Amino acid sequence: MLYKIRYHPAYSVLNVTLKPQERLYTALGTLVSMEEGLILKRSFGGGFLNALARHLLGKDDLILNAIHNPTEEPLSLELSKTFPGDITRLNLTKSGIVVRPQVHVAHTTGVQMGIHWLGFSSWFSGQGLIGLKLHGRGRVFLGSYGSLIQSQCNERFMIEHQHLVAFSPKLRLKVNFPKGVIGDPLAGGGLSSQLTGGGSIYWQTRSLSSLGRYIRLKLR
Amino acid sequence: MQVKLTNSPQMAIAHITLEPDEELFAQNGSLVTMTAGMNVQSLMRRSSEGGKHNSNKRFQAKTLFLNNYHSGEDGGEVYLAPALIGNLGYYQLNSHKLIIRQSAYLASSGKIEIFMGYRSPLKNETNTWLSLVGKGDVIMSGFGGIYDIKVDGKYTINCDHLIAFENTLKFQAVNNQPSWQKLLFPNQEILYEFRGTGRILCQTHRPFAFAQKIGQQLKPHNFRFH
Repeated sequence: MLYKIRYHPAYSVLNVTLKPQERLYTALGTLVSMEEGLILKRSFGGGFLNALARHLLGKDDLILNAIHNPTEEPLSLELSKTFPGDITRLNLTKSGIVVRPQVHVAHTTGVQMGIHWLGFSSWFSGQGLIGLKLHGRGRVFLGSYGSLIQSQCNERFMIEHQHLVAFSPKLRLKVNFPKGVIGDPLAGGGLSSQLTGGGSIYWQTRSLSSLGRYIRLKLR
Repeated sequence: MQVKLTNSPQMAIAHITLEPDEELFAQNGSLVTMTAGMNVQSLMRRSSEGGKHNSNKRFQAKTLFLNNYHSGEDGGEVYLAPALIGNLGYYQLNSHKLIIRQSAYLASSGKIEIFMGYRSPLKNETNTWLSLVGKGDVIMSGFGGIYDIKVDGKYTINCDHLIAFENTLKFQAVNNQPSWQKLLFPNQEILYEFRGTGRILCQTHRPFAFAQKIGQQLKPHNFRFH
């Protein structure tokens, strides 16, 4: 599989050329255009029960697209996502990665979609009880709002919750709720996530909730 | 008429130089600056009687407001900018008819006739299309980058990403799904399959989906905590 990211970094588009008999799994709503001969089918990511659990107890889509190249020649397709921003390629390690909803763009065969327990604090903050975990061997493409930055967590890491994109499943997530006068919603104090353990964290440089807050203040 | 698109690809603006006694049509509200001595008139185009059986009247726009810039004896310059952040596309219209999405239309030279509506082969057409006929330049705006595809044979495109296409192409909605899947998952992407030879202009992002995401953020329950 060959890929190329165009209009980098503000309006990234992922151009993928699929070799014969190759398959690519893409999230719903990411497909822009594809050449003649490619076959698009819908499938449940990681089995029906896993997908249903992620859909009911999390915020992920129930189905995803599987694009298959049955012909003898390489064919290309374009993928993009809803938010302006960057698309980043990650090579998966053995332990895998947990991604937030609406972040996953595509992954190759060999990557399995599982579930990850996010904890009750994430549930009460409205972010879902069960998240998407990608593990196995292969490439994963993540789309972020703004650009994507990797940080290494050694013991403890604090991050604004909307900026969090992905983290390694070894880390434990806990969402802290704002307390007192300073944490009042009018003051703009957001939810902060606390990650404990050792592993890598991916975060984005812009968040949609701050854009929504800005527009809402203008609407008053 | 000379068209120069500067600040591409992210914050593009169109710089148009008009010769003496030349006309330019532009979408309402797109003007940034213009030289003195320009004659500006507002026009309105109405859609012809709702189409046939196949138009979805609830979603389609009925009227289009245009500004007509008529340059004086010395010529003039106009700067035009779209509402959304993104790139601008340029198309030289010759013999083909160009079908363009109404929200993507920015400007066209005065010799081009603009008609509202297009006889779409789809049953529930929710987009409003404009048909441009004549000879001249067309400028269109997109959310994100704009790229063009030369089709020879077949090509599949997501309908939200479509900006404009030549009339030599025929399209139909891709319909290869079992009906129980359609009932269960109604909010899927709608794919168009184009046949024939011609050019298609595509935008890389979907403004409608982005606006929907922002609209979800504006709901009050999102502001309980953050």
